[in-house]
Amino acid sequence: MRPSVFVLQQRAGVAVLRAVVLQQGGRNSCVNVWQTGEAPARCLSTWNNPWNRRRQSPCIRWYSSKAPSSITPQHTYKVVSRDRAGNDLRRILPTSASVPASSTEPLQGDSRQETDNNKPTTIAEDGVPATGVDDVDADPEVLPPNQLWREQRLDLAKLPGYYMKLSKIRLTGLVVISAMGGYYMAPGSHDFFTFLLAMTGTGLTSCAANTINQVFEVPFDSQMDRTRNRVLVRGLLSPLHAVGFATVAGSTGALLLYNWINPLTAALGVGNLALYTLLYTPMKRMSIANTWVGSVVGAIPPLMGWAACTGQLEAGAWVLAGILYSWQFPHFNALSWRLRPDYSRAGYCMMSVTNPDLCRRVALRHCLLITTICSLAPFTNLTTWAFAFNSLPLNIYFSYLGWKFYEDANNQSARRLFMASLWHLPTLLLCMFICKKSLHDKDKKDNVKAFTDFVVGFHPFPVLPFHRL
Amino acid sequence: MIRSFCTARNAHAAVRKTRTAGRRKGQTKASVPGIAAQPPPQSQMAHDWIGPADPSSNLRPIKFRVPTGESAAEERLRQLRADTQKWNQEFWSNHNQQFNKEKADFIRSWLEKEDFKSVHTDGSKRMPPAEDMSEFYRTFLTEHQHGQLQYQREWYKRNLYIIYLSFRVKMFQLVSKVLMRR
Repeated sequence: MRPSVFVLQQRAGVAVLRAVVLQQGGRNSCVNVWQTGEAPARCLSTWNNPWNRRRQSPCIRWYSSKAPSSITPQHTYKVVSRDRAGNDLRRILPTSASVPASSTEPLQGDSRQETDNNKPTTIAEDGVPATGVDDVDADPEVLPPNQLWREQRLDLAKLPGYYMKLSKIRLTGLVVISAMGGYYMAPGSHDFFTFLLAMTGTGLTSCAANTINQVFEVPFDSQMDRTRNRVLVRGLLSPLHAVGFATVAGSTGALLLYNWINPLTAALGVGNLALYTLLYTPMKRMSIANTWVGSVVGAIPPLMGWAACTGQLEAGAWVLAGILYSWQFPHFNALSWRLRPDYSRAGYCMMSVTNPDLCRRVALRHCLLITTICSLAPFTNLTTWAFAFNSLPLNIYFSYLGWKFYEDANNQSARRLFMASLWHLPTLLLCMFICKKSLHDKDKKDNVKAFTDFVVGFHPFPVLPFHRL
Repeated sequence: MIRSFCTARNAHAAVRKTRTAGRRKGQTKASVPGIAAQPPPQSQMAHDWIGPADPSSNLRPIKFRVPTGESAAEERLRQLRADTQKWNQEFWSNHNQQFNKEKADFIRSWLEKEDFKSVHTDGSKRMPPAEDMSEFYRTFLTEHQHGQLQYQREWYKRNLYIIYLSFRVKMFQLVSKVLMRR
């Protein structure tokens, strides 16, 4: 199909942007779009208004930019007009009135408040600029769904979905995976039901913590693009309902851990919940030390998994916790780099806003710390010596990206570091699982003894028969 | 044959489009229940209605339903929620206005420090690069931090009180429903 130019309008009052559709699938499939003046949008997916579905070829088509990652906002656009570009693509490249010229200005930092153009510049289908945009947009069939009034009636069918969003199910899943890692690496005996109960308890406490966080952050979340579509911000559930869910989940998780696992794991779970909701959430607006508190919160789940297996925290548990603690810094600092405008306006105290040099330094420092910890992990009999060498290329590449971010911090290096952190941790954990000491232990030799034997035995001189002299 | 099929289909689509454009202007009622361009009048409201985000404060206004036979506790809760909503709206619209004003001032002073050219050669607006903007973000955050902390303290108190009152109201409603069933 020949490429055509769509003129998309976000909503009344926000200027249009032009999109070149290079490939178009069927009516409900993805469309590859290249937008002028911005980084190319990966993909758009279309859907029709539910009340127009009975029409064969809908006159109103909604597009949304598919967020390539969770940190970019999703915008909804409406096709206002379309013309065939033909082969002359240069004609499609006029300056778009809405996009900022500077490519270093983060795209997703521009919330509605920050667009300077507030004149409606809709182009009607016959080419004449439409002046009375507002009356057209008052029509509920023309407005996108997020600009209408909605009755606050609880939809029971959607309740599991709401609960999953409230508990930030993806983040909870990662927390449970790190707890699984802690359980697996622990030298105790592994029992399937204990494992299942421990992971359920950890998951439930994590759900409770995330829900309470969202209950108290409603006005702040409404200010930032990334969090504008959360369940409580949109009023899909009442705060009481969310608090009730958190209470049930948290108490079930804690009691489960206390009753069927051990008190240490339950204490760690409840402590983590308290740390996150009572210390980290308020501190986010008070001082930049919240990042350190949040890293401790991220480091506790493997301790919980380990304690669930052995009932106490040996040195290996602290190594695992240390790796997760250090990992949080490059992950979060790279993420927060691109959200500086939003954090500044919403009032969050983050290193990337108040002290960018510290932000970069700390990210690099902890990348190097991960490398050191992984190289010294075998000393605690957590893994074999192979782990120190197998993890080295991974950690060196991660530290290289951290160095790039330190040297020249811009959106691109921040994004690369953030994306790398997402696959770096699972790969590192997998490496660690493969190199677990008990899997390879034929004679149960202590790693420290093996190391000292190696060092003492390493001498350049030939062995002289001193006893013969 | 394929080409004729495509052109016929496009022609048909074009005809339907012009036809439905006229029909669209006639029909203004959304056929999805629970969603409307404006909330219905008080007498027809069965629940609260939540609206689109206000452009200046980014908060979503809620239109509260005043039920007949509202108890004192329910009225108190509703008043508190309405008052908190108004207070939030005021705070954030002031705050965002302040942000936009200070940002515009900063960009203007940056352009003055450069060379008065506010538009690039290709017609787009000229904005300071990210390192310069981060200077603005830092000063804005540190200036307004005290106000933000006061707001946060007040917001936490109000939110906790709202949750507590709504818990009491909900319990009362449940108990009275159970008693009425009996």
